[in-house]
Amino acid sequence: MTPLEGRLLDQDATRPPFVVRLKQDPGADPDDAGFWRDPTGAVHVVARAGAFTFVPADPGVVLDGVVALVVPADGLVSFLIRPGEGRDNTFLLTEACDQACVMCAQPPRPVHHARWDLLRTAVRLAPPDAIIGLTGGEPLLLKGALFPWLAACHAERPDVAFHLLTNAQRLEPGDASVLRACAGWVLWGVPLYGPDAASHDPVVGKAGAWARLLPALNLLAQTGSAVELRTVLMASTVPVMARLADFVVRHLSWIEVWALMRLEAQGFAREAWETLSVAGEDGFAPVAAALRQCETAGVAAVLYNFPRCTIPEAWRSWAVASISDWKRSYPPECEGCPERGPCGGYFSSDPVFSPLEHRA
Amino acid sequence: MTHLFPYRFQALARDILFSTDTGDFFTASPAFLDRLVRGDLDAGEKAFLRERGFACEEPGDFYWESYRHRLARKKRIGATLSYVVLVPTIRCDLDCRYCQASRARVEAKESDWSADTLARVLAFLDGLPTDRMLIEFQGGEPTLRLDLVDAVITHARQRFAHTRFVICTNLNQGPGAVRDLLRADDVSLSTSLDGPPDLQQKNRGLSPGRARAFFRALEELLTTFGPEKVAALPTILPEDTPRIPDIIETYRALGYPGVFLRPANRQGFARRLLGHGATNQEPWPAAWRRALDYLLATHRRGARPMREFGLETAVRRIFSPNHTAHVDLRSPNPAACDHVLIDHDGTFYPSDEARMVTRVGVADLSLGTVRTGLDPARVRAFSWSQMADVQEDCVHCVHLPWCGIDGIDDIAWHGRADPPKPETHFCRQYRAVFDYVFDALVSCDPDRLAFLSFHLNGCFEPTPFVGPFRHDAP
Ligand code: SF4
Ligand code: SF4
Repeated sequence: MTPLEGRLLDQDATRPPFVVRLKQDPGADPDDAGFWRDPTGAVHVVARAGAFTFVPADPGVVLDGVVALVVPADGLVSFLIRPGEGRDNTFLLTEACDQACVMCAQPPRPVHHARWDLLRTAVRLAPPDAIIGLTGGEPLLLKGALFPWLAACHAERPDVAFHLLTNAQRLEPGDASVLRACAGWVLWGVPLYGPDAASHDPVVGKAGAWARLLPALNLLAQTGSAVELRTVLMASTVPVMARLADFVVRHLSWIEVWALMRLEAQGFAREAWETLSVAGEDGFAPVAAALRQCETAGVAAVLYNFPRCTIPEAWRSWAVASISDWKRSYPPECEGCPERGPCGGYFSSDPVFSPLEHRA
Repeated sequence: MTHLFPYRFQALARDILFSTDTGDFFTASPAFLDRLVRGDLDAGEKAFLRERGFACEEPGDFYWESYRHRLARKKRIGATLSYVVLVPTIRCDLDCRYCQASRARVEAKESDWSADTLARVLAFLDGLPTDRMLIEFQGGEPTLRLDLVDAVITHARQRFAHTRFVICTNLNQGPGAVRDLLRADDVSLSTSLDGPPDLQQKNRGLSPGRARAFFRALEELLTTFGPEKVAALPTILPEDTPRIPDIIETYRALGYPGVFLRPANRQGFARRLLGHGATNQEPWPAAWRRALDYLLATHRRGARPMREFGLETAVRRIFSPNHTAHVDLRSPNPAACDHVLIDHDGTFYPSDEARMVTRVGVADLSLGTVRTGLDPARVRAFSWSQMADVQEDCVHCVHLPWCGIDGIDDIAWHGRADPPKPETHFCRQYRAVFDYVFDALVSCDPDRLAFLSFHLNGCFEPTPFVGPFRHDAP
């Protein structure tokens, strides 16, 4: 169980799954459900679909306003949306993928999770102006259902924006009208690992991926789509950084932002950490040059997943506290750190779990 | 099959510099140029040309679309008129040696806007389809008619959501004339500061007492409002180029982040002083280059780094394609498209220089009046002449994508709009700037690269700010 789940005390293979919004004071919405905690930590909920009781994995979790998916057959409650600043609200749509990235944090397997109607209810219950992440696996493997679902969600909740992570391999010219309709409320997070096929394809484990990606990027540009380009920094991408930055500022200057991401030690990356990871200090000079190139050319760039103290001071303002709140962790050395406020800390999974000395 | 986009090239000291219309560039050895011309490139070289934006595999592919996008961005011009220079009076209480502004004496009649002209200027502003407006008051000395300045400011603040005003003043009326205006967030001033007191006194026809009063006024305003709101510009006479270090130090001591080293041109009354042709003084490009060496050397010795704003404009044009094209350095450079000037009698001009050229009778560059409106035929005729992209000399020049064109400057310096470009002041000046930039770039000298980076990003450090632009070196 992740900290965003709970164990259902009344498992029931016959009961269909449903979505509720947990409310201290339930409002008029029929999907709002009142709840109380008993002294053992169990949470009792009264929902339209019936009463249930669960034990959250994280006993301290704030539940008021949480939109939860209840799956009695699995005995599981998952928190899909949590209101409040800095909350990461992401729907995992599928674990299947048509690439096999060497550092994949979530090695693919052919399992889909998209329960479209329930997820649509969850979007309807989201707080105002929520941003909802859509991730996989590769969500566009399900684009036949995903695109109409997005349109329906947008019609119902035009204030909600989506951040869709996709390798863009499945985009084709016929999708242009959908992409155009998504402009303004969908941010497409698209990975790019090198300035040519020789550098990109081996990282994503698929020959021809680069050749498919370029026209997809063209299509995104021509349809006015907002793109967040994503590059994970690792042993194979850092050496091509200068050329990649040059490629981005020249050929992809229309993007919304380029995210340079520190590697997360999960899945394949955890197994191959020794070969994939770059030491923060050694690795930073090429990253600094990439940021400088972006600044000069007027292309927005950000650093994701970097504890601030691992970045030379002059470059810290590029860092975004991007590690999901439930995945992040601060080692004891962070106590009293002046950077703690804006800092996103470490991944709890980080093998190198100790801040470097401060240069602040 | 690899298709090359149109490119130009030119020899630097040792390397060859290549550029496209989109402003992409690289350097290579003469041997590479030979192979390129013979069509004898290997796969790696073709890939390099694609990455640098010089080639595509087939029309319509990713690199082709990218080129189209960059070209469109490069040639885009702000299409809303949102910057208006106003000359409410041409009367002035000083008589500077190089006066460019074609002034009238303080007592002169019919040198200010009439009530009717003011009303028509305001009506013209009302009709502009924008909610952002930058208004610059020039003269003459606009503070002689603060009532007109006030009337425009009050009106514009009601009409436009975002306003900025710049008052160009000689500060001869003391700081009191502008202090109240400057308290507003949207007002700043710009004054003429030629260097240390003796230069200021000589060039601007001041008594020693008046020169001291100018510096007192400037320092008081700088202390109160800071250099962001109290800008200054020098005008450098040919005889004074040896004093450029003194000029720079004057600006540094006053806390300015940089200085725009600007030679006096031959417009207005300055023509009489400077004459038409070449002088036997040091040519401006050489003086400018020495000034940059001085800026770098003083920084090496520990002085606070200073920018040269002419260099800044050029490096932004070269390296920051998203940066809005500077009106001093762009092509096409159309008239009355994003900015226009209205003179004391309500006549429209494309710029201050055009007004002065007209006033001294070299050519009529007016574009209509506030009474009759902008004259579309004159605007068109003028704009069509302002395109380096079809200028017979510039079309062959490797610097074309980041250079500009300024027919008015050519008239002002040379008395005509059609001298061969390489002989014009404009071309010589900017070639010197571009040569400086590319020399520094291929030099790999960390100090000079840091100096360029400082002009682009404000950081004096050698982290590369461009990608790998060098194919091979001779
Ligand atoms: S010590 Fe901790 S809080 Fe401070 S910058 Fe490093 S990781 Fe962030
Ligand atoms: S003016 Fe001179 S430097 Fe500029 S493009 Fe023309 S020929 Fe080249």
